[in-house]
Amino acid sequence: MVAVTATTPERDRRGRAHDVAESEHKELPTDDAELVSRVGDGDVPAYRELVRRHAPNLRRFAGRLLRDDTEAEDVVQETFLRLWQRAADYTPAARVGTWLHRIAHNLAVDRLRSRGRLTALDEDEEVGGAASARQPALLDEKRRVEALELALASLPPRQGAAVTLVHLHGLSGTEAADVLGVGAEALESLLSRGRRSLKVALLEATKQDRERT
Amino acid sequence: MSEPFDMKRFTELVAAYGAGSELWPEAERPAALAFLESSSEARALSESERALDAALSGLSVPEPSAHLMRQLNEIPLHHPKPTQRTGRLFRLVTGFAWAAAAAIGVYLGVESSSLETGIADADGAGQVTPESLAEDEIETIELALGSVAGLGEEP
Repeated sequence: MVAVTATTPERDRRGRAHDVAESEHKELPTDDAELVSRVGDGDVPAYRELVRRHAPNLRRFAGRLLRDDTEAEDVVQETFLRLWQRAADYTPAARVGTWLHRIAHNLAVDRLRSRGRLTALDEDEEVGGAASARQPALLDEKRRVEALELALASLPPRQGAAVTLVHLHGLSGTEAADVLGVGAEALESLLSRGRRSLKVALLEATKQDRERT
Repeated sequence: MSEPFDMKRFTELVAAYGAGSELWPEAERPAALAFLESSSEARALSESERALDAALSGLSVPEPSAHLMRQLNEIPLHHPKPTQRTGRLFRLVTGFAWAAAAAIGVYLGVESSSLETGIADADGAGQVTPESLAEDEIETIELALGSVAGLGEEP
């Protein structure tokens, strides 16, 4: 874990000192919940450490749901603004990562709803035709990563979000279901369909590679 | 106590969560692992999911754009928040304000009903007898009647 220290109190461009906690030369805790507690007290370095830890995952997650870079970045900004302003609302019942993913999910759904695109979340086209249980193999690493990224981006948003939460961001099934606001069975269905599509995509990529050689 | 496991459930589990038991739901994990031990079909199925698991775990998280990271890091500069102490003070003051408003509302309600009762009594239509009223209520009624009576008088 990287210890982050603040060198000076935060000041804005006009030079006004903001009412932030004095936190110079204090090591930041490894525990996310402790960082959130400090953010509640106005600790900017604690806030920035949470940005460092969670922004990449939240950006990827928002991108899966919204399929629009600008909107995904807006959602991540709003999520961290909520964190900054409402850290006191956090209850340790959920992990911080889960809590932040849930905020981002709700913000993304609000955006889709306000644009009349909420149904886009449930577009459920299967990727790559019929599923196969065969094991995709023989792709070189770079090609495999490319094919998988492409397939993930092509998944229906909820499937992509479910796979991202569980298989890439390490949330448990219960946590992912909570973030997406679905039951355990629905989550398993999203994950199964998502994984099946990814396998098909990898298999297709393998076939194409074989044909080329 | 977990349910006995069968191939159907194992298939569903592995199709959703993959071959790595660490992702399986905690409540079902012991039974699923026991089933895996006992079934060659389950082991074959589990193996077939490993390539995808490996591919997924090989994906790295893309770095957010420098622009986004800068915007995120600047949020505290552009959105100063009240410190916890100020926040508590604000909640305290707000709480007192609401309590005071409620108390005034209740007081005015009582006064208003006393006034109505007093007027009704003065007209002879009310059922309230002087014996049933407390001294301060009588005083309030007298004051109110005085005010009402005074309304029509010339200054």
